[in-house]
Formats: sequence, C-alpha cells, structure tokens
Amino acid sequence: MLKYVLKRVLAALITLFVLVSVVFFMVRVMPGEPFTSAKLTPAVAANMEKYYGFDKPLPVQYVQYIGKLLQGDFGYSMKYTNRTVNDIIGETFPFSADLGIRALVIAISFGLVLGIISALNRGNKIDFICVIIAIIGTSVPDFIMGAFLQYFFGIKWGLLPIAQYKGFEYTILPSVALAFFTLASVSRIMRSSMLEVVGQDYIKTAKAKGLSDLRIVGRHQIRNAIMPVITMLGPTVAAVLTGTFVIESIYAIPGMGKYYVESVSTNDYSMILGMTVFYGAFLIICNLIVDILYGIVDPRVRIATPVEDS
Amino acid sequence: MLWTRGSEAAKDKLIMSEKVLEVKNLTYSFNTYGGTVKAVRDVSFSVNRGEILGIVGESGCGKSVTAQSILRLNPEPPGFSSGGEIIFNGHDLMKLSIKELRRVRGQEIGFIFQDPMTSLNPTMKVGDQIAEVFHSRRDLKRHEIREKVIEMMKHVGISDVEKRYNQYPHELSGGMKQRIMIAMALVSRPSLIICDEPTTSLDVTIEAQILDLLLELRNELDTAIIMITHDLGVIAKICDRVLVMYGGKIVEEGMVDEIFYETAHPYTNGLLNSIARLDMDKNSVLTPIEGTPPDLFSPPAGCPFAARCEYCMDVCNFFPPKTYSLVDSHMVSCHLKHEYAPEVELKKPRRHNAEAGSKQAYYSEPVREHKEQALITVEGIKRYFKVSGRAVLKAVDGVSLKVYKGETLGLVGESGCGKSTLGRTITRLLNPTEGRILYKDKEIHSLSGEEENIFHQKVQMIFQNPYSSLNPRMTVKEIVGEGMLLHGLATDAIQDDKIEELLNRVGLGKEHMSRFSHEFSGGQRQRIGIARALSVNPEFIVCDEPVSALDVSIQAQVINMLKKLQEDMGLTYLFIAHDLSVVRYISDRIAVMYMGHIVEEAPTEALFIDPQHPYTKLLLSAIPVADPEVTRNKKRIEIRGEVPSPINPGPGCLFADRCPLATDRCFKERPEQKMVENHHYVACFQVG
Repeated sequence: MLKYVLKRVLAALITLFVLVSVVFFMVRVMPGEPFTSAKLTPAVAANMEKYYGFDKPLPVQYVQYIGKLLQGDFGYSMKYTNRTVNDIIGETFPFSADLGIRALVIAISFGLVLGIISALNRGNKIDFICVIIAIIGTSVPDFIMGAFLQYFFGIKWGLLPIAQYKGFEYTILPSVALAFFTLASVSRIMRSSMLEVVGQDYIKTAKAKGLSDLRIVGRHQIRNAIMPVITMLGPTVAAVLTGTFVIESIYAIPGMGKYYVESVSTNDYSMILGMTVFYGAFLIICNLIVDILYGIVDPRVRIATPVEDS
Repeated sequence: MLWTRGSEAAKDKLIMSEKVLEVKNLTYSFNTYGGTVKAVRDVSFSVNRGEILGIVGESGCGKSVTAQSILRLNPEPPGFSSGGEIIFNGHDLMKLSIKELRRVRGQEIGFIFQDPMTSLNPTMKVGDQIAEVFHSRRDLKRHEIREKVIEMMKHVGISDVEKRYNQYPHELSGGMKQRIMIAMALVSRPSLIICDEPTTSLDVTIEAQILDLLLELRNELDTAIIMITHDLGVIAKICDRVLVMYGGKIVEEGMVDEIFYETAHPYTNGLLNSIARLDMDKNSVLTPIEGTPPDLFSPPAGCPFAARCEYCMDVCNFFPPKTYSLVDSHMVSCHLKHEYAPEVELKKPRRHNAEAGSKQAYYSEPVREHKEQALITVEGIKRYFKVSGRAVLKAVDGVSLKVYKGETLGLVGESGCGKSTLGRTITRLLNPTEGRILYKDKEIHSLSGEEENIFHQKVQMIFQNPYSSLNPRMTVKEIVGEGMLLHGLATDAIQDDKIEELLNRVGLGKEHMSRFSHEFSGGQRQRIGIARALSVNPEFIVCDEPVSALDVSIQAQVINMLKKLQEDMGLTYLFIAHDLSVVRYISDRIAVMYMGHIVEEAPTEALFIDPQHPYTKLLLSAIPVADPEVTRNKKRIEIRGEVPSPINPGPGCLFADRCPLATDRCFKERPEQKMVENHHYVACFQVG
C-alpha cells in the first residue's frame, strides 16, 4: 500500500512540474503585454518591466520563477500593485473553497442517496422522479439554475438572501446551484452501477447466506457499486471548482473567480500563473486523494497486475 | 458386492432414512420480452438425510432454476412460481415469509455456486464473508463466531487459516476460493447443501480434490447434498441417486447404478453415448444426440425429447408420458414403458474398460515423422509477460514441438499452463519473447509481405468461446465471407455459392446466411466459427478449446464434424484442450503442458496406456469417469496442492512441489526432455 501511495505522489509531482512549465511559456505567447495602458509613458513601462524582471532572457526568468515557486512565492501582481498573488489568493480562496466544498458535499451525498434510492426502486414512480431530477440536473446549465433559484427562493418566496456571502443562509442557494450538475451525474452513475452489481454472483451468495436486504445493499452492493463514482470524483472536483467562477459572479461572492478571469484579460502574468499553478496543485492533490481512496475501497487495486501485451 | 455406495444395503438404508426435503409439482417460469419461458414444469423429487442426489442435464434443462427456487434465489420478477410445494423440515418454503425464509437460507440450507471467482465479494475479507452467515444470530459472541469460522476453514482443507482469514478473494486461487464457498455453506452445519455446478469452472485436479472433500464432509456431518452438474463423470463419482432433467422435466430418476447400467430413458442413454471417454481411441465414433433442446417459450405438448428421440412414436409428440416405476427406486417418463408400446432395446454404451489395449501394440503403430515434412516446427519458444513491477510471468518457457501434415497434435494442461498462449504464438497473434517458429521450414517472423499473407491464410484458429468470438454486428455471410474477400479467394459473384457450400459442410444452410450470431445456439455458433476458419482454404488450424463451452450432446456433434473435415480436406490440427478424454478421441499425438513446459509427449495410445510423467499420471487419475463402478474401484493417486504461481518460478522441476517422486535434485535442476520409448518423450529425472 505504501509503495502504491509513493508512486502516486511521485506521479503527482511530475504532473505539477509539467503544468507549471507549460503555463509559464504559454502565458508569454499570449497577445498583448501587461503594461500597455495609455496612461503609461514608455519610460515608466520600461522601468516596470525591469522591476518585474522582464528584461532578462526568458529561460532565466523561468529558472528564477521556479526558484521562487519552490519557496511558495508567486510574486507580485502586475495589476494590483503592491499586492502579492499570495495575498490575493489567501484573501479570496477561502470563499471559493467554502462554496466548492459545500457544493461537493451536497452533490456527492445527495447524488449517492438519489442513485441508490433510484436503483432500489427500479422501474417504479420513485425511480422515475429520481431519473427526472437527474435529467434536469445534467441538462440545465448552472447559471440558469442559479438565476432560477434566486428568482423563486429569493425574490418570489423571500425565503433566502439573493446574493452575497455573509452567513449560513447566504451559502445555501449558490452551493445548491453549483452542486446540481454534479449531483445529477453522481446519481446517474450510482444508479447504473448499483443495477450492474445487483446482478453479480456474490449478491446471490449473500442472499443464499440469509442476509437481510438492508445488509446486502449496505455491505455488498454499495461498496462495490461506489467504485465508478470514486473514479469520477477527481474530474468532478475540477468541474465544481471551475464552476465557481460563474456562480460567484451571479451571487456576488468575493471569491477567486473574479480575479482569475480578470487577470487573463489584463495579461497579469504573475496572477495567471500563480492562480493556475495553485488550482492545478489543488486538483492534482484531489486526484491523488481519490487514487488512494480507491486503493482503500478496492483491495484489488493495491496490487494491480496489468499484464503487458506486445 | 464390491462397493458400498451402489449396494442393496446402502439403497435400503437410503430409502428408509428420513426425507430432508421434498419438492412436489414445482413449476417455475420467467417473464421475458419474448414471452414466458417455462423453465421448470411439474417437477417432484425428494432428498434423504445424508444422501447425495445428483441432478444432471444440459444447459437450459431447468436444473439450476429448480435448485435456486428451493431457496427462492431466482430473481423475482421476472421469475415466478406457478404452483408446487417445497417441504423442508415440515414447513412449506413456498409459503414462508421472506423473513422466515432468511432463517432457512444459510442456516439450514447451504448453497455453493458454480464460479468461485465471481461468487465472492471482491471487497470483503474471506473470513468475514464466512462469518456473515451468523450475522442474524444474536446468541453468538464475536470470538465464538470467529472460532467456528476458523474451525470450518481448517475442516475444508485450508492451510494457514489465520492468515487466509484476512485475505481478499483475489489473493486466493480458484480451488481455495471454492473451499471458502464450501466453508461458507457448511459453517452453520446445515442439514442440506445445494451445489450448483461446484466444479465446472475448476481444473480436473482441483475438481477431484473438491469432490473428495464433499464426499468426506457428507460422511462426517451426515449432510444431504443436492449436486447439480452436466458432467456424468461427477455424477458417477459422488452421487447416490440421480435425477435426469430435460426440457424442464425429470425424465428419469434412479440409484446411480440404475441410471448408468439399467438406463431406461432414450435421452439418458443418448447422453451416455455422446460423451468422449478415456477408453475411447481415435478409431471409435462418438454418437451425438442430433438436434437441439426444445424451445421453452412454447414447450412441446408431448414428451420434451420427442423431436430428438430415435425411438419416437406418434403418441410421443402429442401426449406427455406418464411416469413408470420400474423398481421402487427407478422411475422413467417414457411412452416406451407403456404396456402397448413395442419392446425396444436401447443401444447402450459399452462398459468402461480401464485396461484397454496392449502397450506394445501402440508403440509399434506407424508415426508420420519419417515420411512427412513437419508443417509447423516450434523451436525453444518462450513467451513472457511483464506483470506489475519487476515480476515476469513465464507463460511459455522453452517449448519445442513439431506438427506433421495431416495429423492432430493434442495439447493438454490445466488453466494457466500456457497452452493457449502457445497456440496464439504459433498463429502469430502474439510475438514470442525468444525462439523460432517455422512454417514449412520458413521462419514466420521473417516472411516477406506476400509470404506473410499466405501464412495468415493457411494458418487459422477456432476459438473457445463461440459467444464472444463472433462479431455480433455482422451477418453469417459477412463473417464467413470476410476472409475470402480479403485474400482474394472469391469475387462477389461466386462468394454466395462458396459460403453456402461451406455452411453445408458444417451442417448449416443457405437460409442462415443473412442472420446474426445471436440468433444461433452455442453449437451452431461454433459451427459458424469453424466455417469462418475453413473459408480461406487453410492447411493448419489451431483449435483452442473448441468444445469446452458446449453441452456434451453438442460437443459430440462438433468433434465428429472436426474429424470428418480433417479427413475430407486433409487438415492439420493443433487441438488445445483441458479435457483428456476429448483429446484422446481426436489426437494422433499428445503433448502435456505444465507451467509453460511440455512435460510429456507421446503417441496418443501410448500416453494413455503407459503414462510416464507423474503429472500425466495425476491428470489421468483425476478425471471423473462416467462409470460408477470403475470410479469406485479406481486406483487413486493422492493429489497434493495446486498449480503454483508462474511468476518468478524456482530453478527446479516445476512439478516438484506436488510430485510424489520428488528428490532433492528435482528442486535444484530442471529436467530435460528425453526419449523413453519410440516417439515418447518425458521431462523427468525419475523416469527411464
């Protein structure tokens, strides 16, 4: 198991390094430059370029950047002068993370429950309702869902605040809106996986042992059915976190999304790089956790023996 | 009497002992999109204490459905029972609530399934899975349950129990998993266990161990066993009484000797005639049952077997036969037993002859070697697979052999011995890690483009699984015709005629050309697979277990056909199988494979009359013979252990761990093949 984990960690570090390098050079080939505002005289611009080290050759800048990165320093923002990227992330990420985690918890827990209920009631009305919810969830985009929730719960019925992020009741609508798509896909995968497992021989063995339905579902069916859901968790976390950009702007939440989008349009190199690397590292860690989790749930993965063919 | 199992005394004892289970007029059906399948029709039987009752029949005869409906394990819906009683310990199981039934499941009736690979939960420790049987028992403490589990695991022959308890199914071998299943079924000491083809997916040496274990456990615990199987050898080996099922009905019922020696139903007789037997040489002919089992969507009004029965009378097609009692324990459902029916003598199979033939005669038989050029020459072939990390799986590890024109070389061995890998390497589906393969003295890996095309045309393969080896989206015409067009052997214009001729050769017709493979039965699909292989005028065909997925009555049809095709078209076969009796019937020479090596190679009869290698002897002794008396008197070789892992094997003889003759040298050195008699080669230090 330890060997398995170490292997995964090493793979994660390599992925991260590749990500940093690719993004570093890609940012530089983007059209435009950070200091092109009409208010800047060429002399000031040149001065600023020197201040940020842009006068040096690209490889040197790259090495310097990696060096700083290893110390956890993303450098200064080029737009918000005198603020470091670390500061901005530190200030805004908690909001994004809070929203994302709430959404994930809602999506996974309700998605699993919905999928399980749906599979256990296969073919009857309850299943039908669950499937309808899943179809709505996967086909309605989150900005529409966000607006709908605002209209009904916020404006029409006045149950919950429409926007901002200042307490528990503020968090409900945005996290539900963000969670909905993932919730629907988790429930669909769980449903079909449950139905596949129920036909397996070991379920019949469990039945022949005289176990109650509850125990068969709990001990034998769910644990085996959950594998495909765990596999999709990695990409799911990515989907939810990138989804926060839209939801943040609809609900006026001071999260990272706004800064990220803005930094691209203003060519704020250090900001783009910093945030991409930060997100990238975050997602890679999520995937790493998923891989390890998979190894715990399915003992076969730990000693996976892929036979190599010619 | 020589044996106890078939004796009159044993029979009386069985009849006198109490009934554990009584099934009365059970009828069970399934609703499907195509209509209602009447899987079991009016079946009645009983099981006595301590008895092993065999239920034998081909796939689709309703034997598994019958067994599973005892504990209501069939999926419902679509399954439903439309009548009958199942009396167990004085209660009708059909009338119990599901809650009450759960107390019977696992506690009073244990169940062992066919495939131990899929019947255990992969995410749960095996010990815990056995312990789960006691889940509902509040009176037992945790450590008491654990003790019971460990005791039963030891009882079923699992070593190193404490360690095994915490292992997951994928860490155990197939035989070990089936032992776990047996422990699970027995741990609560039920009065009845139902075994649904418990050894079908296991190798013969493991099968023999498991059957011995079941017999032993029956004797110790006095448990009644219902043994469901399609294999008459298994029936002969362990059953006391037998039910023969066909088309959802019981057609014959009797003590095991009555079924084998006083066979009364034409179907039972047909089954006995159609099995390839160990004492059957290449010159004898298998007698298959022609035709296919009835369609249970609309079962025939009369006798289910009428359409395939050679003694069929008019009445058989319209009225179901009554059950006639021949002696008190032997019953048969057949109109031939009616007082007005003509006296008919069934063509019974001859009794099994364990010592057929003389040793000398077989060695002096002509072997083709000197006359003919070798069609295929394999020289020191190795095929390794990388497994995770640095481990290497040596599937084939230095095999040399020759296949001569017009002969059949049988290649036998247990699963994982590398026989299929070797077959695939010879047809170039896999590349060898080391070694050379010559086709008519030319290295097949250095053929020019044109020669390579010819090689791929002249060397064909017939696959094991007729269900997955045919493309479901292609019609028969496309499947059979594809190769012809590819190799330019037919133009569109004459293609149809050629395909029709091929289909006729394999017993199919023109009307099948536009159909898809799912419309055919297993036997018919295998015929399509054979037609596909023949379509490009091959010289050499690798048959990779071509009949092991088929029912015995169908197996005989396919084997006979392969033999006839060989004679008509001058084909050369490499016939890969795990079943020694089938191999004997079709091969001129046989090579026995064990863990990537050929341990013995000999002319067919020599191998059977005079086996030399301890492994060959073991294999031969492990095969269940479909003759109860012979099985009872058979000299038995004790079978030790299981096939070890082929990953990073030791330096010595690979069979040394299981070999009764092994000495120190066997563990240190690997024996070379040497000739012991004319054309008879053995790789063993203790022989010759």
